[in-house]
Amino acid sequence: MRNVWNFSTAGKIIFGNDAVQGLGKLMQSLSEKTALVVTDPGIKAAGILETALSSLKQEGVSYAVYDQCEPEPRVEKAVEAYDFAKNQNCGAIIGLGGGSSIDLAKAVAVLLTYGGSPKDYFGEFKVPGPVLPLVAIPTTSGTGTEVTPAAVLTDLQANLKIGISDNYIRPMIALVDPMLTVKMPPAVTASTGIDALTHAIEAYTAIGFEYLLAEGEALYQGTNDLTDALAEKAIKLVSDNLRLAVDQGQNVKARYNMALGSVLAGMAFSNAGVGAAHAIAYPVGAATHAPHGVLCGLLLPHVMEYNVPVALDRFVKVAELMGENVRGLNQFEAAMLSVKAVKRLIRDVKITATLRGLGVNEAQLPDMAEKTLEVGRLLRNNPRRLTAADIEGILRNAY
Amino acid sequence: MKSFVFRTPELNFGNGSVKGIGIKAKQLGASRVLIVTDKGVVSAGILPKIEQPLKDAGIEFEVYSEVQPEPNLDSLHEIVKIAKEGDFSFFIGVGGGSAMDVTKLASLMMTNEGEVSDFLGVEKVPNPAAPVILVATTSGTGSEVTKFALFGDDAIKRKTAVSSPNIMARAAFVDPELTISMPGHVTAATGIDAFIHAVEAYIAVNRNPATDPIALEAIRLIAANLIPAVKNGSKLEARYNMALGSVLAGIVLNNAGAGAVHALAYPVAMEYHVSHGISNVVNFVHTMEYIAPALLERYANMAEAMGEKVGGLSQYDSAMAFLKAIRRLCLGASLPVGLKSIGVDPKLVPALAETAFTDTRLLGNTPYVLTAKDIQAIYSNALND
Ligand SMILES: NC(=O)c1ccc[n+]([C@@H]2O[C@H](COP(=O)([O-])OP(=O)(O)OC[C@H]3O[C@@H](n4cnc5c(N)ncnc54)[C@H](O)[C@@H]3O)[C@@H](O)[C@H]2O)c1
Ligand SMILES: [Fe+2]
Ligand SMILES: [Fe+2]
Repeated sequence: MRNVWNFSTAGKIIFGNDAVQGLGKLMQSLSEKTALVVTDPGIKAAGILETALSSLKQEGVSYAVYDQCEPEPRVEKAVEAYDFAKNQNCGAIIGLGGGSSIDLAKAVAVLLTYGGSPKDYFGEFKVPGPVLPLVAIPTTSGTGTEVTPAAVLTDLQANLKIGISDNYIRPMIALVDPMLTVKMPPAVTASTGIDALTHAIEAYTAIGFEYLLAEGEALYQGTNDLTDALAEKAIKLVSDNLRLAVDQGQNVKARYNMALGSVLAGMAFSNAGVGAAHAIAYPVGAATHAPHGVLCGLLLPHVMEYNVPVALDRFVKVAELMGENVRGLNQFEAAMLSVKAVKRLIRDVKITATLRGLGVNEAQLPDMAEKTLEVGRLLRNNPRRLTAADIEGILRNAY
Repeated sequence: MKSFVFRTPELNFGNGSVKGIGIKAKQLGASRVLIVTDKGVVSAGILPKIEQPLKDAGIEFEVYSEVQPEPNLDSLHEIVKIAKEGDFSFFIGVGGGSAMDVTKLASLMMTNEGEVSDFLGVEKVPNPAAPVILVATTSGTGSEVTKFALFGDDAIKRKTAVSSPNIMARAAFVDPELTISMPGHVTAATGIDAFIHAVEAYIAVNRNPATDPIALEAIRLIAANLIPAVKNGSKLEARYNMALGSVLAGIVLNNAGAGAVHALAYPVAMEYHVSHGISNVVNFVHTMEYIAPALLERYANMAEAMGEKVGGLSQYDSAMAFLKAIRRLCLGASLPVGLKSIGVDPKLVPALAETAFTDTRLLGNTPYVLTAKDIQAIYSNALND
């Protein structure tokens, strides 16, 4: 039994509409050297980069822009961005974009601080110490990476997602401006929003910290009261606002609440951990290259159904938070309503609901199940034990 | 759609968590550490639990254990002198709010030129303080996770505060086992302080959507565990939940701030030399009653968190249930709910109210505009209880 939990998050979370207008002043206070902005062509095209840069210009902050990030960036991109930044006298790093740009910024921060190559830091607790000041500005409401200790990259040769996980790469500042998400296309809003929902539900229904099967320090440690409070609020916010954010992109209130739900979910899951839906999403993602949120959403209800028997009270609460009427039902029925609520939400925001729909071949399922077992660091947070056969069962249900 | 800032230092929570303090100090770059604490903590036998892990991690340290409860500036100057002469650049503060707050002040004096008085008020500390780890041994102030440091200024007879993120701890340790030795009356006074932090933060003008759920959780934990912790102090479960509730309350205090109850408490504490918790609780119930009309919905939510049955009740009745519940909580923990108990002289009320009224930081964070007259009225209500 474990007795101790640790809670960490970004050094400071600045949240609010138009918060990005304060970026220039903020960077001024962090470093006199050049600020490296890591972003991607989509953010540039949406005019968001310009908004951020104009605040930097206004305060006379010198900057260099690397705008060649790609979705689910390859390891090579980290090397490329590092090569670009190496001789620019960078004193601080800004990750501007979705999870991809921010994760790349985290990796570059490690490289600029300690040199070497990305693979030197793959795994947990491999970063030697603090990194250059890192400011994360999310433009999607989903990953929560602005407050988390992980940077996920893609290894194309091995066809794997691989990552750097360390508290040292939690951003010093998370600058969350819901207005930056207003122009996010509906499909991206839906898939990233479902990612946030998955974070919140998996964090809330993870194993209790006492019973995590791990020795010594761990980043993902199971639930505690603090992560519960954050996750509950996040479940409610996402469940109440995702449909509106998808169908009324200009609904600023819904955008605000989604950004909030996403960051609260990030604070929760980056301490409590995520579970089987995220674990299974790894091999399925490698095979299909579908967006992370789509995979999570597709798998989530089936994983929940599998987990319900060992966490009845938690799933009842999830059902309630999602607006289900559980009165008069027995616990099992009430808990199963959470599964129904998630399925309905996924349908309403038009996310592909089956693996078949993603072009997965049924014959691939056993192999995917085997590969999922390799993601033990996530699976151990899942409240219910899984064998390869159990995972294959979940995959078949999702097929 | 509110804009807000949220920050909280790294927290290590759990029974036996201080065993990790050596490794953490090392990670944070400590080699020579000054431990700052007080006599009560020493005689409770807590220090060896901090010293051993430091030794194991090969960290040199010395101990200063002369901090006074509700500290004034004397011990601060001593600590700064010892630290500068002994070349200490890292502090570990162990104790209740008194020891932890002095530690924060000392750490700020190490890296900022000037007198303490230069740094009073909100965000007046230019440089980050020397690194600090804080270990809470009471379940009350939440100081281990806050940017506040309070002290009594005897010269002006005022309780004053430094409020700056630059004095936040690098890491906080909350180990419920360290609180077992706390005497009943300290448990009660510090525990109700934590409860009041959660309540004031939940209704604060500067509350935000991130602090709300954490505040309600703190209210739930403390309401259910304060009386057991006071009346049956060896019960680890109650101690555990109080430690948890108080650190959550500290997190929301840090981000939403306190309000009128604290504003009314400080003049009373200075004049009558009662502890921080007592000075708060003697004003708590009457302040909450006075400002209730503006806050029915919030009170109803807190009633529910306190375990009151509010289903089927009107919002008004639910809010009244909250008021009844907090009175019951205080009385059950053998805490006074009025000023008579500490012998406040009715003639002094106008002067106390004048002083409280100048606390614009706290009154400005109260969701009910209180005039000096209002404050007098609250004190008077509290006097008659
Ligand atoms: N910084 C903040 O955010 C904040 C918030 C509220 C109050 N405060 C300040 O904190 C101070 C009050 O702190 P407090 O209420 O924690 O009390 P305290 O630190 O004054 O401690 C009270 C007494 O209990 C003893 N003690 C502490 N832990 C013990 C244990 N585990 N076993 C046995 N004895 C123990 C101490 O030795 C002391 O004698 C005041 O100065 C107040 O203004 C600060
Ligand atoms: Fe995710
Ligand atoms: Fe207090």
